Amino acid sequence: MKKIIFVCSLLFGAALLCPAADLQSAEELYREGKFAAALGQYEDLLATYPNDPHVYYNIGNCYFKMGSTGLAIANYYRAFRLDPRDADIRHNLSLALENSGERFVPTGMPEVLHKLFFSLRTDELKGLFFLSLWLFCTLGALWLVKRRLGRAAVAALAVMIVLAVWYGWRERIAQSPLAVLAAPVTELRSGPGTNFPASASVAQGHLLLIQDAKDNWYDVIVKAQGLQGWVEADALEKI
Amino acid sequence: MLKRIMLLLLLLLPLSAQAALDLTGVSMTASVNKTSLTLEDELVLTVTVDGATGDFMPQLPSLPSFNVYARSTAKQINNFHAISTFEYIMVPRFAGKAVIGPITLTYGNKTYKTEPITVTVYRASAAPKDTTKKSAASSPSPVAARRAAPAQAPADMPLLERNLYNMAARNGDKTYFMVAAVNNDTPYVNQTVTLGVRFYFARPFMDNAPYNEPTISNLFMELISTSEGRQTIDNKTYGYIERRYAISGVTAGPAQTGGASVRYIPAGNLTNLSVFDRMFAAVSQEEETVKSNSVDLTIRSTPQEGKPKSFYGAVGSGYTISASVDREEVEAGEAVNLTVKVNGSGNLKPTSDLKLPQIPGFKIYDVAATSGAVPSNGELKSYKIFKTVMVPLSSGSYTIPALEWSYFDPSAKQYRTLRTKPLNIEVTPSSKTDTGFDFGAHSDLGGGFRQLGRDIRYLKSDIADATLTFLVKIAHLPWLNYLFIALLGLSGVFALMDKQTLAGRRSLAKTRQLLKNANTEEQISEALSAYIQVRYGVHTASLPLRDISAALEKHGCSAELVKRFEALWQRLNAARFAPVDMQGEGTTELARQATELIKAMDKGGRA
Repeated sequence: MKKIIFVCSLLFGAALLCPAADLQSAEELYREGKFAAALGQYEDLLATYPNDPHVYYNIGNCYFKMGSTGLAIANYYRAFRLDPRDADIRHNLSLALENSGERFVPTGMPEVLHKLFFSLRTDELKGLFFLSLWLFCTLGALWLVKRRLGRAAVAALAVMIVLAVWYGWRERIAQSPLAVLAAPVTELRSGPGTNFPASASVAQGHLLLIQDAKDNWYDVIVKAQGLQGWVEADALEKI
Repeated sequence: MLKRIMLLLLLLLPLSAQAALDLTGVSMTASVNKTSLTLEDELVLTVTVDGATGDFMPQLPSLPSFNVYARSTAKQINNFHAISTFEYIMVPRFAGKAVIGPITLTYGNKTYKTEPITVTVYRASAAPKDTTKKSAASSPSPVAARRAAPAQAPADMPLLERNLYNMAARNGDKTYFMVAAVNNDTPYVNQTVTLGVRFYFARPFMDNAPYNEPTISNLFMELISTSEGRQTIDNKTYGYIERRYAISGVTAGPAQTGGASVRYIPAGNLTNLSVFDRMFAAVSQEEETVKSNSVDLTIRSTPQEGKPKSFYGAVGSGYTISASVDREEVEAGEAVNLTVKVNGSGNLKPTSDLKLPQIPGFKIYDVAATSGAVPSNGELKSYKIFKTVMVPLSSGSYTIPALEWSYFDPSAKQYRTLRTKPLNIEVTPSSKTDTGFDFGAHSDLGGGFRQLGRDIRYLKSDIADATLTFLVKIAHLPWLNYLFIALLGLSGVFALMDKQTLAGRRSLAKTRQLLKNANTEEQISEALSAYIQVRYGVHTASLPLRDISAALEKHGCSAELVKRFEALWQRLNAARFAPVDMQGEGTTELARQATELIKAMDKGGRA
């Protein structure tokens, strides 16, 4: 019996150490400049940790070092959605977007406000909104029944409305069909096929909003320039 | 005398010959050399016009499915009978059924038309449909015939030659004849077998004997060699002209080669003619035609058992495969051309295109294939070249894995798989896009600091904390929203259900209980005051009666109830300050009246 417990504890310990070992070997490859090999190890880790912002961040770093700014941005964005308060993720995403001619903080918006707007994850904001709803319902019921704490109920209502707008906005951003150009250079065409003429050539890393899809082509709007056209599905990476 | 008559006839000949030719009937036929072909093959359309002289030309119909790129004309006059042959060499433009419409000829105020001809054009890689039509009078298979007939050829002779030899032995009593045979009458789909066609002649014939190739059904055919030889049959020596073809079945099932034919003019009697007769030999000798037997084949499917995924339909032997890229070092986003070449003995034209696997990090475009066949040493050598463009999406060291391509070896009756060597490609970051490191952004930040550049921050060395925060846990309880909203709704319903709130109802019950237990007018007054305060929000303490009445009316109490309240209030005040012996009955009565009053107020005593 003791042997079984010993073996089980060893296996458990090995299972705990396994991701750490993988991370360490991937990091060593990264330090040696073997970015493609490190990338493969981080992508393997995604199977075990599909929602880990650090793994996405590291994948983004590998792509960035390999010169694939588009794929780096896509992975930084995934990491940012999972952990918007992480300063490293914010920095790298901002830098990668700047290199592609995009802006992370919209023009005219103070960075402090942008940070505040993204200070909570979407699901955290959802939880906060739920709390405000519950508080308002409790205070409202109390006022209706006992005619007490009326002012507090009004204040709770105001907070709830602010949180509802904030959460709705964030949810809308999260649900928007955002993509990034992954191919080094892509041509925007006037129709879904190479037989349609190209209207513009776009470098990797530009953010796109997907409008429509036909066969293996997407109708997209380049956010920074407002250009619209069709690109091949292989050329973009959905975020 | 005879010579004088002949001289006269010679003078009249041009006129009489034309008249004689015009008297004969005119007919026109059209045929093609094959009814199934690929986009890479040629089709020969032969239009034969019998009995027409002079300048004329058959009118071809519109042929949108073909490009006609060569035409030849041959005219012969034999025994006052003119035969004109027009050959058109065409290449198909599209895969599918193609119809050659009726060919028309207007001659002597009459219009002649041929029957439409339908041919099936396949893509080189597509699996063709069975176009076999059963022959109404099919000849026995040469192999079967060989089996039935006593063997005459030496046993060590190659099978095809033995078959031809034995077929010829059965025609030993003829001066001119043709035979056809194959070396295998049950090949697999796409397996190449050799068809031999021999024209035997025991006497010479005039040159320029037109030869018509055998027609084919459910088969592809390529000419691989032409040769001449001699064979002795029943002590008679024959010369022969042989043509060999590589044929392969397109689908499993029956297939047939029709007879080849030769139109010849025997030249054996020319030596016995006078000089004058020899001058007219061309028109006096009869043209004859010999036709070979047809050959039936049964095309077999390759076995399903053990068929690899990389089998694209090739059947044969001695295949080799190689793969190469035009560049081994390339920038991200630049194209690399990958070429895979397969060659060997057999017909690769009808095989499917190679399917490349997904290679991570590359965008791979569609494969374009070209194929060809070359006769070599009496057999068909063919090749197929697959080309594609690959674009690396990011920098790094990549390896294109070994590509597999399988074929069926009919002699070993098993599939064999060939593999290319893995190819390494070094991809450097694209110089066309920004690498992200701004070495040129030098700026003085003050305080002795100087910015040299910007780079991304370093890796995360751990897995993120997956513990759910309090707010995330709350977000996972959406059903609680319904509870709280229901609570709010119920409160609203309670508030709207009556003019009184729950507090008012509780106050009524409490007041009735107080009045029931009241022993003094003081207690009755206090209970009534408390009820009025809750019910109407009017404080009675230290207010004169008229002010209380005015406040009650103001808060919606009816005038009648106000009067009843005033009467009771005065009586309570009077009793409170009356002599002691007047108490007792009065307290009970006042409590009853007070209870009646609050009941009336509770039922809606508003003005």
